[in-house]
Amino acid sequence: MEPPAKHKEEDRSPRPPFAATVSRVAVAQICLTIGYAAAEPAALRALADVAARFVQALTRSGASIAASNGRTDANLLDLVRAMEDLSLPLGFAGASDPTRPLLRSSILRELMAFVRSVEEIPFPRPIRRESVRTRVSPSFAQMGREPPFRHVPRWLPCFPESWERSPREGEGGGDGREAEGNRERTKGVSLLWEGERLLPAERERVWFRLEYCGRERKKKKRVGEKAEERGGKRR
Amino acid sequence: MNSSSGEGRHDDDSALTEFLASLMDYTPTIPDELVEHYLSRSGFHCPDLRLTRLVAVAAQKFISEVASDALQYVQSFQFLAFFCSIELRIMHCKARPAPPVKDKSKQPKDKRLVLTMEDLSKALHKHGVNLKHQEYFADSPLTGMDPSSREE
Repeated sequence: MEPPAKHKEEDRSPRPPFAATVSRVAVAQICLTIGYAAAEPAALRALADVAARFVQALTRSGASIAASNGRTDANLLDLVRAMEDLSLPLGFAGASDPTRPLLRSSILRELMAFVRSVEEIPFPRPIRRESVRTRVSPSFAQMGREPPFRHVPRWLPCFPESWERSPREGEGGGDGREAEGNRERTKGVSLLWEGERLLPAERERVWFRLEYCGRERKKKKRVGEKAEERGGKRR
Repeated sequence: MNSSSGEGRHDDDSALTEFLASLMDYTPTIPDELVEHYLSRSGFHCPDLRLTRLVAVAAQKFISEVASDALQYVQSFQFLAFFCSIELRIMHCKARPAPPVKDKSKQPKDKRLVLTMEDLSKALHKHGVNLKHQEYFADSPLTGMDPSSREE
């Protein structure tokens, strides 16, 4: 096998994350509205990074304030307090009054004035939203079922049905499917549970070819029947 | 007295309600998807889109303030340079006869405003962010050394 081709120096540098790229474009648009005609790449990168860190700091502070008040969902009051905390180094009107009402904060008024004065410039292209990776399964209470064990609270998500169908200690009897599953386990092959579907016991044989990159071993090994006999293990 | 303060509070509440309602129609420059990405990373859970837009608007305001502060540094520097150049020209004109008038259309085109690290670091320093960058990068450790010390 030939050694890999030498990459150019440009290819060695990792691509920036998508979020960083989007924030860079948004910051460039803001600079254009301010009056800048161009920006140094390093300056634009730095300002985009600062913008991302500002958003994260603001939201972390808001989430922390909500959690300290015993809530998981943050609201407007938490956000206003977080904005005031971030504005303390520069100061804002009414900062010295500890009994100031949050909904009449000067920071909110400044934001209102900013929205009224600045021209609306949306992002140039639509951004694809991240797909929901994990679905939150309904809880026992939502499904109207009782948990199988006493120590399991009802507000927890339900156990997978495949787990509930599998044999547990103290429970007798089993389907033919379970016996087949045991047989498969003794062979050293693990089943993949895909929700309610099970992989069939008899599947097509898969052939592999192993090739070594080094000069010493030029043998090509074929793995197929031998792997099945040894229960999936290979030398 | 109490009625006037009560009316004032009512006006403030209505203004805030209108502002939050207007956020649904307002599209900030920072997109909602980007803000939601950072919200999920920070653990800020809120299904209300108005709060997401409020965070985007706050971030946009912050960046606008920083950029405008940096622009002021550039403009003040350009103004000083222009003022100094005028003073020098006046002094030269008094010393010798004026040169022929050049074509005014051929003005230097170096008046584009460019965001530089120097101006940005000054502007961010005012907001409590310390930004430092390398002045230059050398290709190798021996760059800039004397030839005699290189041989050693």
